[in-house]
Parts: sequence; C-alpha cells; structure tokens
Amino acid sequence: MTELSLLQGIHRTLRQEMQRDERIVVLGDDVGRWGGVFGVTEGLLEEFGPQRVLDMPMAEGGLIGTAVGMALYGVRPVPEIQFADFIYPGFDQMVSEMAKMRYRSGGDYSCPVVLRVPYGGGVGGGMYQSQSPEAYFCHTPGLVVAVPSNAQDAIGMLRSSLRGNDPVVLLEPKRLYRRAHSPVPEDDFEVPLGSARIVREGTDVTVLVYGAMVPVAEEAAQMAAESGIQTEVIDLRTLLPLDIATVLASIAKTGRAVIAAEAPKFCSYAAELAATLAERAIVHLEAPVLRVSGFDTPIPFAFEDEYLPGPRRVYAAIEQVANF
Amino acid sequence: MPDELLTVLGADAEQNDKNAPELSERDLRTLYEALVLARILDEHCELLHDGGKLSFWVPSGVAAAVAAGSALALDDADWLYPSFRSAAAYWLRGGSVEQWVAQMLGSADDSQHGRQVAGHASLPDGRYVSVSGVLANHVQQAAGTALAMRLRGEPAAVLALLGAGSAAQAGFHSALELAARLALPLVLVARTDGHLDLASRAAGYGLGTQRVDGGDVLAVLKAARAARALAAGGRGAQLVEAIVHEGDAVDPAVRLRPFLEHRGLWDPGRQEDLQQRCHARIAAAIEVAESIGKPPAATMFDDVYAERPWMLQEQAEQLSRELETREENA
Repeated sequence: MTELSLLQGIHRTLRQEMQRDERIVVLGDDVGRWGGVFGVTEGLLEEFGPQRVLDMPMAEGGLIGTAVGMALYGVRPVPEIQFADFIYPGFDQMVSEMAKMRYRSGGDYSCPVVLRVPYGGGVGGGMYQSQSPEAYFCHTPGLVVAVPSNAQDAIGMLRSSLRGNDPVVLLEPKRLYRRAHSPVPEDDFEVPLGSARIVREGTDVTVLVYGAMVPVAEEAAQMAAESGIQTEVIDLRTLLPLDIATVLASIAKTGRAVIAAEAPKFCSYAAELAATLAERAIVHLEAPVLRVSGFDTPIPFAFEDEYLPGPRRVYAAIEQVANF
Repeated sequence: MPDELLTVLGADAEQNDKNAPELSERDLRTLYEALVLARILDEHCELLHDGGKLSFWVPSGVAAAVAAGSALALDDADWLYPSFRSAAAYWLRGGSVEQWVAQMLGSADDSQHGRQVAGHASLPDGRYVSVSGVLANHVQQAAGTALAMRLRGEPAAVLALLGAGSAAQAGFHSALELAARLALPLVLVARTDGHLDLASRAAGYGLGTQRVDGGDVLAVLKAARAARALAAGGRGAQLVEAIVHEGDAVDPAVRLRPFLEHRGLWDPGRQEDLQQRCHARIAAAIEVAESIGKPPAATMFDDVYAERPWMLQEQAEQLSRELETREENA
C-alpha cells in the first residue's frame, strides 16, 4: 500500500496505462510542457514524447472533435478540459458525435475517448471555474459519466475507462485533488464503471453523494451519529449508468433518503435519483426524499461558501427526514 | 487573389484529352458509371419521396462530380469523411448500391439497423465514415484522424467533403487552425458557389488551395489527387474549393460522356445498356428493402454502449411487451 492523493492517483494511473498500452495519447491545453493546469500530466511529455502527449490549440470543440477522429482511427485519446466550465464549446462533439458514433454506425466504430474534466467549486474559482455540469452529460445516451472521490477509486475507474470501449466523461473533483492522501493497493485492480460504494453503513437514513460531496456527507453523518441517527453514505461513483441495485438495497433498509450534490437543484442529477426512488422504492419510503444542493443561481465568487452545500446543510436534511 | 479555376472538360476534345488526369480505361468507366448511377438514384428517390415512402433525402445532383472525383483520388489506406450528396463516393470506396438503398429506407438489411435517415451509410472497410448529422463536426474529426495517422507514421491522408454552410461553423475554423499548425495530411474538398472565396480564407490559415470547376469530375479528380499527394507527402493540409452552381444543373455524367466517346470507350448502345442496368439494380434494391421490412425493434437498444446497461435492458423488455400486446390486439 502507498499513500496517494487523488491527483497523484490519476497521474500514476495515466502513466502506468500509457506504459501498458501505446495507443493511449494525452492531449489538451498545456498538458505537455506545462504538465496540465493542475499538474495531473506532469512529466508525461518527458517520458512519452510529443507523439503521445500533445499540447493543443485552446478550442474545446476542436479538442474533443479531434479526439473523436483519433478514436475512430484506433488511437485511445485522453483529452483534458482545464475546467468543466469551459467544456461547452465541445458539448456538440460530445453529444452529437462521441456519444452516438457506435450507435449511428451500427457498431462499425466505437469511440473510446476518456475525457478528463476537473469540476466543482470550493477552490475560489467563481462562476467560470466552479461548475458541476454532470446533469447535462447524464442526459445523453451513449456516455458513461464517472466521478471518483478518492485516490483508490480514481485509479480503478480510470483503469476501467482506459480499458473499456465506451466514451467516458471522468469528472474529477478538483477540490479533492490534493486534500487527502489515502492508501491504495499496488496491484492492477479495476473499479467497474456502474458500481457504487458504501462509504459508511447505517440503518436510519441513506445519503446518496458523489465526488466532492462524499467527505461532506461523511462529516454530516458523523454529526448525525452524535444525535443518534445512523446514516448510510453511498458514493455513487458512476452516475451513468447508475448502480441501481446498491441504491435500492440501501433504501429498503433505511426507508429514508437524502441526495446531496453541488449542482443547482432544478433538473439536477439529484432530481433523477429522487424520481427513481419515487418509481421504485415508494413502498419503503417513510419520508419525503430530500435534495441538498447548490442554489439555482450561478456560483458567485464572494459567496462560494454560502452557495455550496456543506455538512450543516446535509445534516439538517438528514435530521429532517429522520424525524419526519 | 483567388487561384485560377481548374477545368478539364471544355469544348475542345483534343485539349481535354491533354489536360485530363491519368486514368485507366477501367477507372474512367467506373467513374462515369458512378455518376450515372447517382443521377438515376436521385430520380428514384424523388419518386419514393412523392409516394410518401422516403421522408428525407438529399439528392446528389451536380455534387456527384465532387464526391466521385474526390473518392477516386484516394488510395485504399486513405480515409474519407463524406457529407451529404456523397453516394457516388460510397460506391467508389467499395460500398454496394443495395446497402445504400437498405440504409436509405431503414430496411432489415441496413447494417445500421434503421437508425439514420437517408445518406448516412457507413463503410469501415472503405474507410468511409458515416455522415454526421451536424454541420462541420466531421471536419474537426477528419483533422483528428489525420493527426492519428501522423502519430502512427502512416503515409496516408484523410479527405473530408463539405458544403459551403460548414465554412461558417466554429469546427471548420478550429480544424483549419490545427491542420495548418501541424501540417496534417488532410484534404478538404468544399463545395461553394464561388462567392465565398473559401480558398483565400483557407490560404490565410496556411493551407495550400486550389479552385476547381465542381461540375467537372476530371478537374475535381485532378485537383484532389494533387492535393492528396501534397498532404500525404508532408506538405501540409490542402483545401480544394469546388465551385458548383446547383441551379445550372448540367449532369456531370453528360459532361463527361464526350470524353469517353472521344477515347472510343463509349457509344449510345452502351449508354442505353448502362441506364437500364442502373434502373433495374436500384428498383430491385428498393423492392427488396420494401418487402423485407424493418429490422427487429429490439436492435434500437444495441450499440448505445458496448454492453446493454440495466435501464436499456428494462426498456427493451418493456417495448417487447408493448409489441406483443399490440400483436394480440391486432
């Protein structure tokens, strides 16, 4: 076991997989000489050379479209978007091309692009360096949307993504990049996409979270425990496809659910989860399903702390459904 | 200053022969037959459309010359990103009329299982990528494929066909920026009406350019072949501006025919025979497509992901139950 940060986990796995599979090519704005805006790709250019690590023009649509064309040819591109907030010019290539290529070609082509996207608030980034755009992507058949919350999952999920044949949007919670180091196994493990992880077991309330909200929910669960409420925290890890079995099994046990995410509330991924529980778990539910979220506003620079759901906001919802 | 307009097929047969690109008799016939077939397919599509059997299609029209000339300029290892009006290119890359028609009508024989409207056939063996439904996205992908070729050290090139509308899209410009910067083995063949002067714009990015009479299939072939040689040879990306006046609608096959006749490769008897064969082949393909019906509805859940996730499995089962009930009630 080695102790790694989430960022180190991604860096090391990229490096190992590039050694293992010479089809993998990293590309993006400043991923080469500069090592990426957060340093995830540091040293890769020196090790693998300019044929495998490409500094690209600053055009996200161009970057993702280029990656699609490379993937069709048999290369395995790993484009990096500097901030999720800048991905929108590439949205068309993601939705119209990357996600639909296998479908529209009747299986003639697949498009295994692994799109790395640092996302989320909490780093003082304001409106254009803090967004959580997962709901847009989760509305697109053909995409896999995954959000690791720690080094071990990031390693295992990135490995699965790089070894699979679907396009993956890997949302990396930049707030957690360097926050904590955790032990990771040395072996060649994978974390299957579409599998959630029970972070903490409990019997009274289920909290469904992902990415940067996982440690927040853990803290809230600790606060709840001090009030005598046993909270089960589930890290969904993959949003699309959802690990429905793990979620439903937990609700069958607790009968109460809170969903917490940074994104705005209206039409959010949390809304999808709430609807799914209404459809499939109504007989188990003892209380309304509550969503804890950011507000339905852009993220204002000076009020980031007020905007982002913290442990207290999550705890308040846990308490509310527990006492319903 | 715009480039000179390249033309091969003019009024003087001797001059035409002198200007023509090198071409075997067999290739010349194949080229001509593809143009005739494209024209006759257009006629059948119009009838199908009028009969309510084809909701959407884009005729090849004069643009068949651009598609055919471009496709024939390529080597086997090259890739082609087509746009609409590219049926002739599909056939010249090895696709069959029957598969084109199956795709067009979404029949059970369609290798894409009836997922796309007419004109989107896919041909991986011919390195012919299914047309994107969104303008200019494929131009950027073509640059990506060209980049991948470069990284692999393959001595091949990518050719993308596009219409004038693509030139206003962001993807077109970011593709040109990348292609010029990296001197990619990329050839863009753009159809315009000449007013855009796209060649000058592309030259501004640093691409090599050539303007060509787009209704003149031999001129397109000559220009595309030269551009392809430059691009594949490391001389950087190229743009061929093929000027096409949709309105004047001179059939490019009719324009090519005197050239074949002058070389003694064609006569009225052959013409009649070819037209009959084309009509019969397309009519037979349409009949088959109409008689065998649609692919199984359950195929709509395939190829979304490498493996069907649970929700698609559930939805497939739901649809299957709905269809069973419908049959029972019928």
